[in-house]
Amino acid sequence: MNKANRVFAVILIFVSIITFFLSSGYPAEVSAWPRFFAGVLIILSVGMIIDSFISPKREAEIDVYGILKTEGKFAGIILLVTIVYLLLMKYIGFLIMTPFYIGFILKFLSYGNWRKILTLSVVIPFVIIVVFQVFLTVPLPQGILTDFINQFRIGGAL
Amino acid sequence: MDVMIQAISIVVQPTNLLVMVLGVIFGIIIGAIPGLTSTMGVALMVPVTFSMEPASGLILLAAVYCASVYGGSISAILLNTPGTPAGAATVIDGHEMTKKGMSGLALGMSAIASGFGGIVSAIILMTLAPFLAEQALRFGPPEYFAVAVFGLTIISSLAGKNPFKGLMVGALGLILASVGMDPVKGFSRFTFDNPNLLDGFSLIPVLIGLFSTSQAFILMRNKIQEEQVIAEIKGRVIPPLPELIRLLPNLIRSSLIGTGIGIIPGVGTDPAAFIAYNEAVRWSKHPEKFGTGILDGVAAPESSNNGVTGGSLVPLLTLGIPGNSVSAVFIGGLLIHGLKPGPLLFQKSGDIVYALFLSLFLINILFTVIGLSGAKLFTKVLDIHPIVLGTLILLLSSVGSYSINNNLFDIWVMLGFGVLGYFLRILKAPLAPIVLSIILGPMAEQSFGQALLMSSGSYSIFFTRPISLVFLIIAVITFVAPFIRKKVATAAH
Repeated sequence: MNKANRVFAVILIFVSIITFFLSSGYPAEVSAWPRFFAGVLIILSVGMIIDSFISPKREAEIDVYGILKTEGKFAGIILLVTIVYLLLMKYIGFLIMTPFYIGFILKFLSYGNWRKILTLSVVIPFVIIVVFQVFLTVPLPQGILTDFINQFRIGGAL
Repeated sequence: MDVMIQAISIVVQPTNLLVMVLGVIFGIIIGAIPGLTSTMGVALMVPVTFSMEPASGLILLAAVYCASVYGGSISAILLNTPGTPAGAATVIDGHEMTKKGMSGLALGMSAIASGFGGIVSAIILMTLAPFLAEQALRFGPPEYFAVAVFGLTIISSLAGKNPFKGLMVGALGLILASVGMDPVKGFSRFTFDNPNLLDGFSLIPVLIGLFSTSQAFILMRNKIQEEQVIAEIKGRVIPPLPELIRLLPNLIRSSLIGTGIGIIPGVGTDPAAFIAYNEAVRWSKHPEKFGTGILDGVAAPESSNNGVTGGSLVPLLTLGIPGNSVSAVFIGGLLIHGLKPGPLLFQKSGDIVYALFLSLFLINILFTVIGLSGAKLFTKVLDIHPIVLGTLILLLSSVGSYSINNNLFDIWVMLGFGVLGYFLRILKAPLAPIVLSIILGPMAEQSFGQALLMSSGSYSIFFTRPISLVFLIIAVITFVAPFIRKKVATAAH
């Protein structure tokens, strides 16, 4: 945990330096607040690095790198798929993209058989559309199906 | 009196009664599933309230909040795993009762005690909050600055084992809170010419990202579901009346402890449950029986953790200070309806506030009844696979974030804060400080600037006004107290 804490502290020092750098062009009154806390963050981060040497047993040892290497890999791929899903959703639409997205995640994480995956891939988006688009009137991005969905809206269903 | 009549007419509307029932069911389910927290449940529901009437929205959030705290006891009793941290103390005697074949009685006691604690806290909330709000009407910018500083110092008690980490996360939150137009001059900061950032990060996607999306990643990370042994519900559910009468002093004491702890920002439901449990042991004539599976050991933590719910709304509604992470999310629910927590809320929207108060009574009765009658059904949700739950939460997080402004940018904010929350969870860093900072940072900066304008740049304004001075002194005590407590505890060991 100590090594991970030190890396975390270094990242936050870096964030603080960027804050100082980006706010350099702002008027003094405007930059004072973020700069003050960037300074505080640097002091705290340095403090944690020193503390990790003085009190190395403050926290239980956790293999953060091990977690990130194994389980974090799954989270990374899911994140990547989610980004692609969100990027395409704007153009292709929620109704078409979501079953593929759910199906991919469930298959990737080895959940159940194809029948279960297909059922959930269809049922979950359907329920979300009914709850959000019909009951809560949230216009979900439907991409290429926008006109098609609007026809239904005029017809009264959506 | 007029306000009260209006409030009653709001609460008894069929829509609001339906909203209560749905919120209670959803809350119990969220609470019962280990790994899903009250904060996450309320965060997921905030966008759903957007298209509702403000009172209905707040009633829904309150129902989810109260019922999820109770729901945590179901898995604590049947699975030996608390559904929420609030249920941790219930495991001690609750699961022992299950082992003795008295799971029904334990579940019944937990439902009754939770409802009792919630009602006591609602009474105190209703009595105390209007009085405090009236006092808070005298506040000007220096007082608001002092209140915001006080709110921020709670971070030290939320910091966990490594105080540096909690404080660092808080400072990072304050930097993130400065994104957007500065509240005094209107100069845009760190927006990179993106109009979506002019008002800073939208609060709801931030909350959903930190509490729900990051939790979804964690759930999906746990690919292999551990074999769970869900105990059967055996025996009678409702405890005998003489037993309930015997437990009354325990219930009253624990509910008051919970409410008191709820009012103090930064302590939360889990310590409240343990403190009430310890007090129950201390006051008992048979302390040796605790831990062997007795009703007293379920009654104390459950009435206390639900006592926190009403208590935590006191500083939130009167001063705008979120006392714990759930009430921080609650602020989001108020803000999307244009309701600013603080003393003016009672003046401008008194009917809504009192409707919320009154609904708390009904909500607590409702989850007690539903809990007593439907415990068997709620155990079914314990079978849902974490992968399905994670996928569903991730999807609801995206749709929920989008639905606030119908803006895809909010989904990116949610995802960004979700990743941040995921790493913070792995690093065992607390998430609540970042939320406190994002909520209280702008309030502190704005009131600080306004106060200095009032005093022509003199800092003495914060120390010469009595209320401001008192809050600043309390802030110093609040900040230092956890460190002193830790030192004393270490020295004692």
